[in-house]
Amino acid sequence: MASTLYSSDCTDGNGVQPRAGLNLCTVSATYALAAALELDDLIHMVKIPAGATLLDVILDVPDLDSDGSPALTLSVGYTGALEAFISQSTVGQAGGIVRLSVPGGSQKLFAAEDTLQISATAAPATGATEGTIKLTAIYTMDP
Amino acid sequence: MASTFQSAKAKAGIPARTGLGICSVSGSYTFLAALVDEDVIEMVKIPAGATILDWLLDIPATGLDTGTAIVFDLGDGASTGRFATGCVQGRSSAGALVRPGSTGSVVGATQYQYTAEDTIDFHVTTAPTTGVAEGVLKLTVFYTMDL
Repeated sequence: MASTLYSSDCTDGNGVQPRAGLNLCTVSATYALAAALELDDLIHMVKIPAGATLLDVILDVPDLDSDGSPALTLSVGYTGALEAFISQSTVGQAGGIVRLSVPGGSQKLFAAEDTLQISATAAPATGATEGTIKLTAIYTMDP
Repeated sequence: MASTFQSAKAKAGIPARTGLGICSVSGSYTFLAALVDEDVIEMVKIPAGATILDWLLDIPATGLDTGTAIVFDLGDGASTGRFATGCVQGRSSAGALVRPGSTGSVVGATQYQYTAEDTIDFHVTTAPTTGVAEGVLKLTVFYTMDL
């Protein structure tokens, strides 16, 4: 039988009020490549403060692998979880824009300051030696 | 050998900040006649200094073209296809949500900063075969005024 279910935020009588004051924050950065990426290269892109709850990330990359059979994959995560938000994306093989796409990756609460990091989880077959990578993170500091 | 690199925002001495606010502006336009080639709809105003982070174009469920001809851009006066170009969503009487990463969105267009006030415009670059005669087009833009 179908049921109506509630998250803890919507449970009747929990005292949680619909709020108008939950502000979003954002931080963006660019990184200009000076050499082709190699396997396990790591780019620290933006700093995330302690207490932040990450809601979304937007990764914007040009074509970084000009080979006819490109191999580059990119991941986005944080210290100790390098594929937490975007895992082994092929977006850099032709250029494109991708967002947080790992199930369970949203609403990550950072208890301590950290950085969001892009890693080359597979090396390019023929890596581009220049290009600008952009990363935007959207988060809230409200509980 | 693998290396570790840093963007300018991740270097030592740059504090992790909690005060970088995000703003949004939304606009909708009700069209009461079929769109034609070179129609421009100014959807939202963007203030000088804004850095565009994200956007969402909502094409009505009835689509824009009962056929398969319409092509549109999303941009501004200086670059009509700054954010999206050659978009074909809205064909065959189908609605769509278009955003960075969707077909037609421009790689490298995120984090574009406006130095002067402008509008973000929906621009028809190829007329529909048979345009849908009525519908509501919506655009929401997310941006920051912080550096």
